[in-house]
Amino acid sequence: MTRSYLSFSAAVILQALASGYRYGFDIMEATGLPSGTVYPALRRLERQRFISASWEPHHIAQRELRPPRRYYEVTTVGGKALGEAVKRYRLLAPPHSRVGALRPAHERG
Amino acid sequence: VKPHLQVIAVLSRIVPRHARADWRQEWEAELTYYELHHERVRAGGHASLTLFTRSLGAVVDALCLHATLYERMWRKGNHMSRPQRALSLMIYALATAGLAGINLVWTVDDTPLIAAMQEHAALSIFWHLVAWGAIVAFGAAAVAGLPVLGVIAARAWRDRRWDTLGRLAVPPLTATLVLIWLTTAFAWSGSHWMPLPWDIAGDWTAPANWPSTQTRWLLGGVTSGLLVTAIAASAVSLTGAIARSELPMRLVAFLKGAAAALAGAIGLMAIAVAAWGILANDYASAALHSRLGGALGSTILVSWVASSTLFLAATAFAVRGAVMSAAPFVRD
Repeated sequence: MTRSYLSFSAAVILQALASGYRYGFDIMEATGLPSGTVYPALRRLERQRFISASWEPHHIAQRELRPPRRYYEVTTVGGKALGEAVKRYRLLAPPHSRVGALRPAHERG
Repeated sequence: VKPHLQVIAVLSRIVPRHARADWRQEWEAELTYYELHHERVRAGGHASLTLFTRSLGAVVDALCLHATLYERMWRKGNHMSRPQRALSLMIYALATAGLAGINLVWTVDDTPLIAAMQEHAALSIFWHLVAWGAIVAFGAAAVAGLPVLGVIAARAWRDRRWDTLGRLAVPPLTATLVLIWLTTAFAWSGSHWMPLPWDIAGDWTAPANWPSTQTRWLLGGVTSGLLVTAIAASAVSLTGAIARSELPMRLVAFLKGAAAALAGAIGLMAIAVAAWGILANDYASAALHSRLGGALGSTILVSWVASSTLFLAATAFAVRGAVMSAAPFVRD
């Protein structure tokens, strides 16, 4: 299998999923990315097996009289890819783990 | 039905069939959930507008699904190597540029724009650039493509691979068919009128010995269909033959240079055609706008826009082919 590098937006989306956002519109809200970026990226990540998708249980949707939503979750392979992406795009890492040079200038002093 | 759900229903028609049901359900569910749970939408007066704009985001998603499908067909279905894909793109570029060029030449032929070109050097220079671009483009394609196609034909003949030979025979066969059609229709009209799409109707009076306007529309329409089909079928058949054959690597080495020359020449033609049209608008505006010299009774302006668009598409194919051929030649 060829090694796939994640684009920054794909990594952000993957990180949003890893943080518990599981639906397309939730990811849009969390990342601020438009649907034209989020959905194609989700399809690509699913094709690369970095995420898996399944349908929400029927009874939950039925209670609200709406069709079931499709939710996504990060796979093991996706988790590894996200780990690599975080190393590459250090802005994705939590602030305390960033090395000095990548901290904003006002924090570096 | 709410407008945002109507948008999704309409857009679902352009989603590839195998993914359509899931795609529609996902978008409908997301929008309905958003409508039910998003406080801002429920409280605000612009709820419908917000949902409608959100639903429009599905256009990109639907189109990307198509792009993905074609990409997979292209990469996996055809099992083509980089040189095969590069050569195929060169063929598509040449076919598209050929169609654009034929349309442009026949559109301008026998119009006051010829006189305008004699008067204004700049107009003439850009016209000549198009012609030189065409010579370089066809030359580059012939130098790189013909030997490769020759070897493919020879190997197919040796191995009795009739499907490949059949595909290689499509361009000469379709060209012959178009010629037979043109000469037959010309003879039928008493050798007075050639059924060309550019000679159907216009702001001129047809000679008395030409067929009726209705007949000209019918026969000219057939020629248009035949011409486009012949060029498209030839390009698709050649690509099919290339996909089924192992390319001679020694000849493939020529591809890099030829693909770059083709991309440069077609790009030059696209720029020159655009510049020529802009200058024609300045120097011979009346002829460009009102003269019905284009294909199927259109104005010269419309025909020029069509040719310019086709040249742009041809440039995109050619540049993609050049980029692909510049990469190392390994089977991927």
